[in-house]
Amino acid sequence: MTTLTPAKPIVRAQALIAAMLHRTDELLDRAAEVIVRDVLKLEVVETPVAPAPAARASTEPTAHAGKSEYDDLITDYALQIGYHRDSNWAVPQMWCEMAAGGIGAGTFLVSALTGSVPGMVIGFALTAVVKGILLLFDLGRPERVWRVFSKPGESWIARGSWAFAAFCGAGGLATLGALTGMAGPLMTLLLTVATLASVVLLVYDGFFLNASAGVAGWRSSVLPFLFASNATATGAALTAALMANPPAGLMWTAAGLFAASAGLGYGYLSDLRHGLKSARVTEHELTKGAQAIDFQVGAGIVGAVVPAVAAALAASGAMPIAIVKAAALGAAGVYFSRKAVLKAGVHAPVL
Amino acid sequence: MKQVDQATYDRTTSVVKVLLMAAISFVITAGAAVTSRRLTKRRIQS
Repeated sequence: MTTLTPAKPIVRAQALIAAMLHRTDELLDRAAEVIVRDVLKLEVVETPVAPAPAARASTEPTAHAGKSEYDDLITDYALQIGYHRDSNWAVPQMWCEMAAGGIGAGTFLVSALTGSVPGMVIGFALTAVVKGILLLFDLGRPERVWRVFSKPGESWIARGSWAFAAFCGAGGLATLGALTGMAGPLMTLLLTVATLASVVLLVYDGFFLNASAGVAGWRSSVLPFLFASNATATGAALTAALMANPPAGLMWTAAGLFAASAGLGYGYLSDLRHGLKSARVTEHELTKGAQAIDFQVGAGIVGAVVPAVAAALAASGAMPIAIVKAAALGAAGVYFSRKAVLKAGVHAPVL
Repeated sequence: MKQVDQATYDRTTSVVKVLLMAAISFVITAGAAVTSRRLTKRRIQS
C-alpha cells in the first residue's frame, strides 16, 4: 500500500508562485481581449481553411509565395525532431526574476553613485527581495543550493550567485547605512562591494543565457550588453524620477543609454541574422513571429525609443515630468525584452 | 463590429497587452516618484 506524503512547504510555495505568475499573465491576456472586443469592436472573420500539404520535411525550411522560409518551421513535437521552443527557462518566473533583478541592480547602481537614498531602497528591494523570492522558489532541490557557489571560474550561475550574495549582504548594509546617515571608510567599502556586485548582476542574465549551448539565439555576444544597457537606462531614469530636483546630466545619461539599448536591440537581431539556422529562427520569431510585438513594440519602441525621447525632453527642461514616463516605459521595456528573448529561444532538432 | 482576420486580431491584442503593461508600470512608477518627492520635501522642511 502506498501512502501519499504531504508536499514540503517550499514545494507548495513554488507551485503557488508559479500559478500566481501564470494567472497574472492570463489576466492581462483577458483584459487585452476585452479591450479589443468591447472597446475597439474588432471581430474575427472566419476564413476558409486551406488544405494542409500532404507531407513536409520537418527540418527543411519551406518557401511559399508571401511566406518566410521560417514560417511554420517550429514544431510542438515532444520527440524534438523539429525546431522547438525552450521550455526550461522560458517561463514567467524567469522573465519576472530577470526583469526585477535588472531594474533593481540598475537603480541601485545609479542611486549609489549619485547618493539617492530612495533609489537605493527601491533598487535593493527589487533585487534582493523580489528577485530573491523568485529565485528561491525556482530552485529544484533547495537543500543543494550551496552547490551553485562552486566553480565560479567556470560557471556564470556560480558567478551570479556570488554576486547576488555579495549584493544582498553589502547592499543591505549600505542601504541601512544610507538611511541612518552613516559615513566613513566602512560605508565606502560597502558601497564599493555593492556597486561592483550590481554591475555583475546587470550583465549576468545575458552571460548566463550565452552559456546555454543548445539555444543559438541566446549565444549572441550582444545580449549581455543589451540587457545591461536597458536595465541601467531604466535605473538612471527611475533614480531621476525619485529625486525632487534631478540633475540634467543624469537624465541625459538615461536618454543616451535608452538610445544605446535601441541600437543594441538592432545589433542583436543583426547578429542572429548571420548566425546558425536556429539563431535565424529566433530572429524570425522576434521580427515577424510570435514575439515580434513584445520585442519590437514592447522592448523597442515603448521600452527604448519613446523613453529616450522622454528623458531627453526632461533633460532639456522642455518637459521635466517626462522622466517619470521614461522610467515607467523603460521598466516595461526591460520586462518585454527578457520575455521576448526567452520565449524566442529555439532548440535545433536533435536528429 | 469591425471584422478582421485572425492575424490582425492577435497582433492588436498583443499591442494592447504591451500598452496595458506600460500603463501599469506608469501607475507604479508615478506613485513611487510622487511618494519619494513628497517625503524628500517633508524631510527638508522639518
